Amino acid sequence: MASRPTEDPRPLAVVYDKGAVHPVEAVSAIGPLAPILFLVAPTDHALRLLPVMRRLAEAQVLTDDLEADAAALRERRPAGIITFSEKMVPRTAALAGRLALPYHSPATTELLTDKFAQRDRLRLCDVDPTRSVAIHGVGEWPEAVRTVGLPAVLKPLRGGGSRDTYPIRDEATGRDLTKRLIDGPDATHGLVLEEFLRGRDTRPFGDYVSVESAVVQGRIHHLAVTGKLPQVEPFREVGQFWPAYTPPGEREQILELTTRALRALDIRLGVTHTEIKLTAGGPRIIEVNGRLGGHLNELSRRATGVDLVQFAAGIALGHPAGPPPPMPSRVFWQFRSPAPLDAVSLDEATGGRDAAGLPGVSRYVPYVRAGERVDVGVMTNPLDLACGDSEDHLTMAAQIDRLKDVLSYRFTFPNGRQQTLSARALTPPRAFS
Amino acid sequence: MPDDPRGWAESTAAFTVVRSADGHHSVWPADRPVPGGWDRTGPAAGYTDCLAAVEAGTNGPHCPDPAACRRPNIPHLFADVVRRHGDRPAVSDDERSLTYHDLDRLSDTIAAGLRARGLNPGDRVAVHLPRGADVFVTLLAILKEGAAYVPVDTRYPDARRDLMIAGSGARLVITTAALRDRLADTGVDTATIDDLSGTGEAAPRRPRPCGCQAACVLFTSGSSGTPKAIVLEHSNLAYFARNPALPALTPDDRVAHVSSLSFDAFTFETWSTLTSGARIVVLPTVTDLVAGDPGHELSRHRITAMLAPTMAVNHIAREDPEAFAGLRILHTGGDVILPAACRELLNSSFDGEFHNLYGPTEGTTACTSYRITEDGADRANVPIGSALAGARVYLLDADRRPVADGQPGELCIGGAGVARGYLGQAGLTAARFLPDPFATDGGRIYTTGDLARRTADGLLEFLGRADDQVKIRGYRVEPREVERVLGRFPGVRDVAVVTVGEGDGKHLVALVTGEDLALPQLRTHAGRVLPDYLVPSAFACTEQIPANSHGKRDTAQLLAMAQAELRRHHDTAGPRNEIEEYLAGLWAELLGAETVGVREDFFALGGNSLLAFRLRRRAAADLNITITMEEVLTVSVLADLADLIRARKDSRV
Repeated sequence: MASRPTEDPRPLAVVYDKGAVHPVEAVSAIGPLAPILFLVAPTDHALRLLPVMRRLAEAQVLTDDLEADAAALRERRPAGIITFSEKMVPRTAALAGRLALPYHSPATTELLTDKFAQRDRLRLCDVDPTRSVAIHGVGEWPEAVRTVGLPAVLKPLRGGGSRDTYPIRDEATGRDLTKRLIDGPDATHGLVLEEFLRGRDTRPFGDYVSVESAVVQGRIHHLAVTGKLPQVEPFREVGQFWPAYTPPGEREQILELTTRALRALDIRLGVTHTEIKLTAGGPRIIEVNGRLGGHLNELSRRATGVDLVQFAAGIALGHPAGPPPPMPSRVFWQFRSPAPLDAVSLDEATGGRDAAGLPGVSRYVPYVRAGERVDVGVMTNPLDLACGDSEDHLTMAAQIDRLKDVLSYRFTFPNGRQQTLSARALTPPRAFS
Repeated sequence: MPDDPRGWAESTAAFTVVRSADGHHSVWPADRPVPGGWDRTGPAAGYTDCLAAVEAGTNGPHCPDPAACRRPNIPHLFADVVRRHGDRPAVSDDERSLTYHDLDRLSDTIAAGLRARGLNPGDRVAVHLPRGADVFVTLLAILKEGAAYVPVDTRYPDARRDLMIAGSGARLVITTAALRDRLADTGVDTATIDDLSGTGEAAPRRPRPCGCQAACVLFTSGSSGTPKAIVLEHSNLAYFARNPALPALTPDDRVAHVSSLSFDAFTFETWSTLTSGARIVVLPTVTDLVAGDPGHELSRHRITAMLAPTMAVNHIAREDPEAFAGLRILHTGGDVILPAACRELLNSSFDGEFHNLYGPTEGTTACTSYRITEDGADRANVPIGSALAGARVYLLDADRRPVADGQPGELCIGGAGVARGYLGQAGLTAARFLPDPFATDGGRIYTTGDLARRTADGLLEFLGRADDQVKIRGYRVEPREVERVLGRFPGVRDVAVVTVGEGDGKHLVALVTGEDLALPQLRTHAGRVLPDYLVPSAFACTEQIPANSHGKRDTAQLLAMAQAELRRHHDTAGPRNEIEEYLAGLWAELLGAETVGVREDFFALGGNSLLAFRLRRRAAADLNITITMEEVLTVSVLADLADLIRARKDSRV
């Protein structure tokens, strides 16, 4: 693994914003390799954590002036640069470009952040034929829907996670949504309408997987295929596990497809997280992300002892990729209860203690405390995290099933109504699949 | 040319220690007459013993008569400018602009503060300040006090900063409150500008220093071994600052300060400017300038003169040749200027004077210059020109006798720019600074270790470092010579030829930048015009020749690149059949590689999706097969792709 200590005291610049690995986790993982210099996005969320970062490492707050930021960073002579935040990939690439640090090239960054450009390149290189159209105004909707067809998926042209990603079943709803989103804060660059990829029946597991890969000097090393629990409406993740559950031969197809996608996008360096839909016609690309997948490091450390944050940092520092994590001998899983889309606050959470005592459950961590507001939106927005392991995938499914009955939450909704919902009620099977 | 690490012919065995009237020591062959102005001080002995004797001695150089010393000193030259141009701007940074009167007054205040802290003439003071007007106030104050400044760039790594402060024997570090804490471990007293202001009004002014007094301590880059501390005297700085062989700066000139404080280009920016009444304009460092928009910065600040490191000029001339358009004077130096860069500059709107400067720090910034013209730019090797006024330049063989015109010799410099020597290293100073064999006044030469030759028109051409010379298969090889030949090949933009390996395993590796380069043709060309031992074992394309923070070639990184390339070359397994041979040729062409092994990976060699498209189209047409993009993207090892193509051809039969 890329964990050798280095004598080079030059720091690794870690560009930080919401959605990234927590500063404490970053420092403990990267500390053995290099000192950290946090470059902090000037957002409320990131600035709240600034005192923490300053206690742990050096931190500079980024400004609107890229050249000034680059000049300040140059003073610190960083040995490499990385971000674990999807949102900050372009900024990281811009800084890397100015300091001649290895990172995704400007062209590749564009392909990683512009979902239409990415699809277009994947089509051009015969990697994936999924139809997609960029929409910059509601007037483009009719032509877009004619090209893509229905059902379809509407999402911002740029942006991470499943923020504002909607299934579109009928034209009127799609048009209304387009009109609403195009004026919204997350669609400043426009929207993209994509052909909906229908997953095959993979119950009790999700109909998609992700592939975690490391690319060093153009060589692709697949680290793991991550299995997923079925999503809940609209496209929210509730859990993942290592290793993925795949029929014979499918894992190879998945890895080969990922290889082709990464090559088509000209990714030469860094860690990637590629989401893949398992359809009746074979695996298809959902999207390629130029950073580590969310919550994966916890899974990796527990399942294989390999710290993926450290692994990614090592690559950014120019270390060789090292061997991939070993295939775990048991199934390691995470389950996260999603908050209802329209809830205002969490009033009470029960069953956490019982959950921690269930067979196979190794850890239970609440993320939202009773009395706290719940972020409104369609982004994956977990209330908690339960971790466990089991001898096989079906046992895992049974363990999680039991967990869903034990965990229960009382929410307040906008009209003042209060309702108690179990984790099972929060994770109904998705109708749109 | 010297064959021996001592710099002398191997046959010279006996030496004596020699001493000049002003107290410089050196060594000289026992069987040769001592140059004028030097005396032997002891019996004949071995070279090392002589150096050890010098090292053990306690008496350093001194001015024979400080009161009557007529050598120029910087405060005197500055005072003259203040008298004539006192109200004109002397230095401006982002926050303020100081006139010559301001600079004079403020530096007097700081000088008084230094005196109040007990600073004595001859002491050394480290200057560790961020770029800005305060730097110049401080330097002048130190010189007015007869002390020597040690400029320590605030961007340097802590270890190098500490080494410079400790190695210079500084009594005091002038710094800012923010930087002060970091200096605690050095154990050296620190003071800020504020600490020094207004504390020493009562102390009497000191007499101006004599020209033989130390003015500054600069450090060599330390690219090979520990950096050496070079002591330059006032007369050294004055020699370069007011050199009549270079175009004179006028009070209307605005000179860019882009150099690191610790680099010797800073001597030009500071003293050439402040002794001519021109204005120093503080800009970002040259590294930042190159990374940003140099043309915009230079025109925004209405810069008329600057000294830019060669690597920066080579780069800017290619990327933005109009960047220098507003300049009246452009000096460059520090490395080998590319003829192509010169041509691009001369073809741009820049119509000022463009000078190629040559010289080690031991000779005070530069000892030769060449005004680059169309004629110079058309040569494979842009000349370094001829000696500056007051400098003497000799090309000597290992016996320290002149070589014939056209022959390579070690470039040795004498005259007014020759530094006092290395601080605290009398033995090393004696080894590198020798009696000037052609002078009668006790003059010295500095033996640069650089090779040059004099062309038929009397100009000097830089050939490379003497210690870069390598023996390959018994032949003496000069990598720069190979670079020049390769550099003339169409499409080659820049080239670095690096020696890799030891003993019999020594190889030359050529790292080349350029557009649409055909490496096999370049090798053929090299084979046609060079003897076989000069043809590099491996050629590789690279995006750029790496430079260090001083704008010089980064030799360590170049060596690493060359080693990796050679390793790849040796590991290359050759094609075993026609399809592999075809693919190896196609890949080499598409990837700009010289050779491709059958186990190599298209994407690891730099292939991208566009090149994969071209690979698919070419292979499909040339081999008359169907091959999909999916296959090209998936099957990336050459032998595997050859197997796939063969299977497809076979299945058709």
